[in-house]
Amino acid sequence: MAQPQNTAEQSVDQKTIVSMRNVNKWFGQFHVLRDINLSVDKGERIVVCGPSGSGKSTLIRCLNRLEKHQDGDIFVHGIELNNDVKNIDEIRREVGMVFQHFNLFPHLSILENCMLAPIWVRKTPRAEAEEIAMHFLTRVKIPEQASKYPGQLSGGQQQRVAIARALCMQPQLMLFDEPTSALDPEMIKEVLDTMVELADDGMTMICVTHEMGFARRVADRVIFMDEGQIVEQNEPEAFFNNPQSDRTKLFLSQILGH
Amino acid sequence: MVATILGLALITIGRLGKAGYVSGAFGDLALVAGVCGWLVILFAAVLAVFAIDFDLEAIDTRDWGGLLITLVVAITGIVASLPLGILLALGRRSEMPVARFLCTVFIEFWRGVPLITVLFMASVMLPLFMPEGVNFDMLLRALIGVTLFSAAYMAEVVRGGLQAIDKGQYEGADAVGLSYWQSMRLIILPQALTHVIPGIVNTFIGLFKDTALVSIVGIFDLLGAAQSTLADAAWSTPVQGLTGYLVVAVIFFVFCFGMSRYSMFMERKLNRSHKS
Repeated sequence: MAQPQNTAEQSVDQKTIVSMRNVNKWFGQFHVLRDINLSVDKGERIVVCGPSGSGKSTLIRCLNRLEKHQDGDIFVHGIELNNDVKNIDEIRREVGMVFQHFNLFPHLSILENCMLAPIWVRKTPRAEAEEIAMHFLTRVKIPEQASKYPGQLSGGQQQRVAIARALCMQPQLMLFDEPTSALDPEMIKEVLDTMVELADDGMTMICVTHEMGFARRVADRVIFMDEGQIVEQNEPEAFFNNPQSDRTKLFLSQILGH
Repeated sequence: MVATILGLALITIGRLGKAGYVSGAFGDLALVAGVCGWLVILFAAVLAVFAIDFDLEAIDTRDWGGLLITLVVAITGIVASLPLGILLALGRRSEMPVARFLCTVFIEFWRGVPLITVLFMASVMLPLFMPEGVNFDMLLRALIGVTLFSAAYMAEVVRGGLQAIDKGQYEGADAVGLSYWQSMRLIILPQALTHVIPGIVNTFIGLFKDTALVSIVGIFDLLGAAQSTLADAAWSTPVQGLTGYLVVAVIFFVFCFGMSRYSMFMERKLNRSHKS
């Protein structure tokens, strides 16, 4: 079936991949996102940092409807994110996500994990899906693990498979939710290297992480969130060397101090 | 004849829909038409088989008896209650309030009444509600009652399995763009059902033994066959009853133990593919 076209006003080669306007979200009484305004262009690499509970994971989870926002608009790749299931499905096809705890499917082999979405969502024929899967597994440097099961791989390898699985859908935007927070220090480097390569190849990405070295290396913009608000956003050099707000200064002293 | 042609036509529409020649909402309609086509063909096939005269005497279900009845009731109950139980479990966990309400009511009602009551209701009360002349086959009534009863238990077992699956699996499936039914079929149910194989087989074994209750409503099952030998003077001995019941117990044990061993085989086979 032909890919459904967007409405006439929005052309497919949008420059703005993400547009969030006055987004608010509550978990019951708790106001977790307050008046978020954010715009991400094609090819931009954003790093979101902040103390725990600041709403950074919730922010990116709203972008692929894993969480529902109650107020404001979110547009991803020109498509409005609302209760319309067709919109949600279209957006999820264009947005790839990598989770803190990998969320690989343990009953399928690595290759099948990567082939699943192209076959069932994009209706790609099996042989072509296998080629795509092997291509991306090679890109994350673990093609030899293709017939193994997730339980047999190390954490760093599993996370790289998760990245490959997201890439197999060839998304316009990649979301990373603390991808290295559950990994041993030795494995963090291999995953970060993969992400750096991905960034250098021009993938638009929004990354929630505590890895400030990665932010310095790769980010076009660093966003600091606290208590549901975007407190400050700037280019990495300006952000780290010249923080404007007191809360940012406090956070940076804690995270960079040791 | 007509049914076959109609069925083939519907299947062709279904295939075209699948191949993408029909767009949008008509595509979904085409797929539905395809499924209906297969059902029509199946119906026509069954009619054709019944139309052939094998020159055998038709035996009314009232005359069936013994191990055959036990196996028919148990196998039908097992085969039908598992898919129904899965659907009920999914419905109970659904976000749609109507589906959730209906499934909860169904499950709680059928779990709240004893199987004996269900069988009595089916055999005694159901004819009172039926219009004049409509007479449901006795065995069919028992089959339906047993299936619905067992489906409610199965639903709770499966729901336990669904709850045990890490939320991240649901999220991982959503994030790659799988629809609800795709993620259930490909990701969640394979894992959930593997987790609750002991519970499922438990329910099956319980169901198999519960089929003995149909003797209460006059259906002549294995236990009934054993009991009928007590009245037979030709077999009269001091240990007549003991022998009969012992044999029935051994037969039940063989089937139930067989199911239990098969479940261990399934678990081992599925664990090998998990390798976690």
